[in-house]
Amino acid sequence: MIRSLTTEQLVIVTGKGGAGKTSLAAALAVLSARQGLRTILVTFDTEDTVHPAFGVRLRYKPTEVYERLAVSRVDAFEAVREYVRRKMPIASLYEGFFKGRTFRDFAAATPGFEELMCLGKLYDLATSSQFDRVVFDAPSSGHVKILLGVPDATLNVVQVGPLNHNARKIQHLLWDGERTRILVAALPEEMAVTEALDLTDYCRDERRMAVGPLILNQVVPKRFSSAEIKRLTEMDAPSPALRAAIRAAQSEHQLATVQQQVRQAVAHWPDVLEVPRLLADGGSDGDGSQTLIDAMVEPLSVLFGGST
Amino acid sequence: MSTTLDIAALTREKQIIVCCGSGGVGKTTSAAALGVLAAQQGRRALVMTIDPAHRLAQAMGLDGLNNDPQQVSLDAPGSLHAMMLDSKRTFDRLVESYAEDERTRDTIFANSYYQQMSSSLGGSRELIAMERVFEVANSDEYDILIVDTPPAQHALDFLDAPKRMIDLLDGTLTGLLVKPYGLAAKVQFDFFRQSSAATLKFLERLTGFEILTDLSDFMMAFSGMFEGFKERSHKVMELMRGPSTSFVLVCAPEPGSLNQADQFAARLMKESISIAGVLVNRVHLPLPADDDLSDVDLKEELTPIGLIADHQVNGLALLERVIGAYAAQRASIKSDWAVLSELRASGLPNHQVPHFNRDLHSMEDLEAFAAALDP
Repeated sequence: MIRSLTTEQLVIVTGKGGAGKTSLAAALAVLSARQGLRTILVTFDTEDTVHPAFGVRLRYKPTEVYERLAVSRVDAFEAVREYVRRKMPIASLYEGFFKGRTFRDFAAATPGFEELMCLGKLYDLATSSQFDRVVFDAPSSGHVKILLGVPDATLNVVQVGPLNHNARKIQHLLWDGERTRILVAALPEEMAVTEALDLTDYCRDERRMAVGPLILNQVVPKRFSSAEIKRLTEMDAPSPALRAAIRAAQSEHQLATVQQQVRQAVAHWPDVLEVPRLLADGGSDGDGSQTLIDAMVEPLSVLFGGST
Repeated sequence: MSTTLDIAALTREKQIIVCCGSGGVGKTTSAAALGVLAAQQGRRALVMTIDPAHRLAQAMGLDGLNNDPQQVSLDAPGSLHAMMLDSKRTFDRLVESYAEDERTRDTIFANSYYQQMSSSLGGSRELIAMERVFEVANSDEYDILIVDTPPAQHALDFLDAPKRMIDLLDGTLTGLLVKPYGLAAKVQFDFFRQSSAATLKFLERLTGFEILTDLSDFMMAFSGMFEGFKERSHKVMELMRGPSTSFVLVCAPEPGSLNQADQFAARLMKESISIAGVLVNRVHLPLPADDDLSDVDLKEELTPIGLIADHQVNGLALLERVIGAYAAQRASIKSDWAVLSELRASGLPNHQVPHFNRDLHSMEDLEAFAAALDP
């Protein structure tokens, strides 16, 4: 049974690298916006990069891409600066320090400080009156584990003061299953799914978060029976196009068969959402990815109370 | 402009190959296959990996939690060892070897800042990977060391982490934090001292005091070890810049790969490190008959398929489904090669490894991968 996203203010999309997180997060953000929620899609990045689907440059300041949909990138430097400004009524006096080496050293030296600042910014966006929902295109599994552990780690080290207060606030948001959901995406490959299930356990048991469904991305449906493939293999194929087409069918069948084993292995899992492999048509110009997002919207609509 | 990346020459001649790249592109598998190739060339190879997937680890005999190199059974003239990096243990060892006395060592071990830093946070994995590289490179046990770096958003976080550490140890903050205790204080000018006090006060207000006390304790304990540590970090960088080290970017043919490769090359150049090139995994190789038949002509060509079976799936006859599979494959190929031609235009040497259509996790798989590295 797949639980729809309803009251969630923060939707975290993660998974092993290459699982298609960025496209999935973008499609979820588009769907949220279409449902009427004022949505912001957020990534963590230290440099201005162009979003592959929307073709806009991601900046710290939210950029509107569609009606009710904005995108932004959060980086520690800007998040810390904003935090300092807010904490210090005469922040301009401290700009010098802020830019100075001592402060940078401090930020670099304090484990989790930058991560906490970034999470704090996510918290602010998620709870601001400007947006109803943050879709967070999160770092991949390994990094996200560290990131989600930062509030707890901070609370262990700092027992009082603003950092403690911030960490606690963030922790409560992450713990609240009504407000935060984490979605783990994986390609239907054995290793990727094992890692995704590990991450799911970690988020649920150690971080006490609401997780799921597991998103199996780029599923290649089985188009042929083994008997058909056998016949194709045995048939007389004089033309090059015919041979190439048969090889394509064989190769796809091989992939689909391997994937099917993985899909069956997770079939007992309470909630799995399959997103079929969708083909982008060419290049890295971003246009192909936009088509990809549009095509993903349909299989993901089940998360928004739609049917598939 | 395009050149081919000669992988076999790298594994034959280099002493260190560092595999960089983001996660999910087959970096660990590539590193392992490079090791196999080197062993096949008769070299004593060691693959250092960070967090291998379980089955791959098993295949390489790394299913225990062992920080030491394990021999991988492989039929080759050379030998292959593999090891998993345990950052906490390596860090502890580093502290042990540089701490002035047992008390300093224990103070550091007990420090909560150290515990956080050495186990999970703050680039310690990267730092430790470098540290271990240096250790192994200076022993005579192996001819070639292949390093699988932690997955990174930016391929060179691996290099930045140790630099940040040196910056920190060398920086004014260390002076500030150590000074109030009157230990290892550096001579400072008055005006600096004043601004320092303000900075500290500010940091305290910003954070809560305890973290600074902790950090201060840590710095104090660490300050005695600093020179040894710093010198070592510089040596690691020297090693990375040396002619016997090569950096390879591992990627998949995805939009954004070119961008990543460009950034990677630019950053390496800035660090005066030589870049070998890009290893592109999971490439759908072009069809021998990759012609552009029109849909009508293609259907015509493929009609014999319609004669061998008439079973329908989802209302589609076999012929229609084969056409579907063929079209899907052609789209994948087109998309992969669009990325590849951009990569080539950038002038970086590259080498493609075909898409294997399956998980690679046995030694046979690694040997197949190695064969694709040296066609």
